[in-house]
Amino acid sequence: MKSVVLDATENNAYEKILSETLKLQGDEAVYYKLKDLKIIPCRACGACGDITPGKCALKDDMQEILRNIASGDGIIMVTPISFGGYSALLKKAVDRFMVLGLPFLSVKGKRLIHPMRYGIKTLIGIGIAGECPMGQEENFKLVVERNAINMQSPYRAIVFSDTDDNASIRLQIEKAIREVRV
Amino acid sequence: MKKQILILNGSPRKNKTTYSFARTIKALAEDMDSGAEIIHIIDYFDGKKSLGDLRDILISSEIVGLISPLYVDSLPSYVIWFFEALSKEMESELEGKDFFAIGQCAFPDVTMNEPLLESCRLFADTVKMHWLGGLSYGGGVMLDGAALESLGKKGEKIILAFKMALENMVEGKKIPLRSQELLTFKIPTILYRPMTIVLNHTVKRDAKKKGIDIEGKVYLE
Ligand SMILES: Cc1cc2nc3c(=O)[nH]c(=O)nc-3n(C[C@H](O)[C@H](O)[C@H](O)COP(=O)(O)O)c2cc1C
Repeated sequence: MKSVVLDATENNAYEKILSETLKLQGDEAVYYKLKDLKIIPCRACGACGDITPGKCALKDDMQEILRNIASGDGIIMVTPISFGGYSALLKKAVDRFMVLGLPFLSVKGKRLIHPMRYGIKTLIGIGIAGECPMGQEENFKLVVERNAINMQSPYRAIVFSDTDDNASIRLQIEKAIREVRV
Repeated sequence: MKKQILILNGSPRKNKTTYSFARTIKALAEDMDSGAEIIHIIDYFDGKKSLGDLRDILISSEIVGLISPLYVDSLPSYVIWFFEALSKEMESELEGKDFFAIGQCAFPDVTMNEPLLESCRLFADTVKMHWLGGLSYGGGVMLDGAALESLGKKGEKIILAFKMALENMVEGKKIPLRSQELLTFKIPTILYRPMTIVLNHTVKRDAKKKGIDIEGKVYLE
């Protein structure tokens, strides 16, 4: 399995845990520390629809990330929770996922979705909760769930707090990685 | 004057559906003897305007409202960036003011905007603003920035929904449920399948005419 990790945290705490956990599973991990990369936000220019279908016109590090996602099996996102969702840094990358869908529609359950251009990827969203008000954890999990529905992905959403110890973080991440693959 | 309203356009596109909603709300507010100003978040992100310039506008506004497209199931990155910056730098200017949000998306299902609206509520809570509620519109892509007055019955319903919301908000009251009811059109899910067959056929036919391959796996080439 090849997993693409999009890490929008400031420090390296999760990099160590995730890299080691994925290695133990025998996975290839392509790890992106987003704060060190140039990612331009989607400006809804429409080029990926009409001019170069499925290809984003923005020239930046997201092109390589998209290539790895396309050839990979799973996406893992790590982010501080911002107002019950992804931080702006992670969302810059996620808004560019648009090109992973085909311009067609299909029906899944009671929802309309876009079939995926590169097949189904597993999705894990890891949120780090700050001192935000009540409801942020639930909404973060809902955002991951909605992304997973649209990408037709087996998924897990986990929320940690700054005070969680590394051993329990590691355990929960290992469990999530195992579970999305079943 | 009743109230001064600041409307934030959360779309990077300054003249599309989000803007069409914003200009309608501005006009409605002015008809009610309130003042309204529209700003484009993208200008602040691009550095064309500075957050410092916003301070006076914020201080003189009593109600702030975000109108935003849905991007990948939640707020666009620009809006999150703006909220992060405001909560760090402008908390005291925002505290105590009223806040509302309108989310609009491509899919017709209004529940799609739930996570976006909840993020707006959480933002209001974080900066101690008073949450007046949110509205959701599905099918925004079909409007493609058209002026609501030009859309016949459909436009009239949206304008009425906004008018009722504003009438309540300028009185310090929450957006009434009736506004959301007016914005909600339910397509029976049984029609989804035939709808997708027609739409997919149109997309394929148009691509063939233009001679483009819309199914290519460009990132594997
Ligand atoms: C990057 C991107 C992501 C989008 N994600 C969604 C989505 O998850 N669900 C949806 O219904 N529409 C989605 N849309 C469609 C927009 O919400 C919709 O077209 C909206 O009306 C655009 O507003 P505007 O015309 O003011 O820019 C997305 C559009 C873009 C550009």
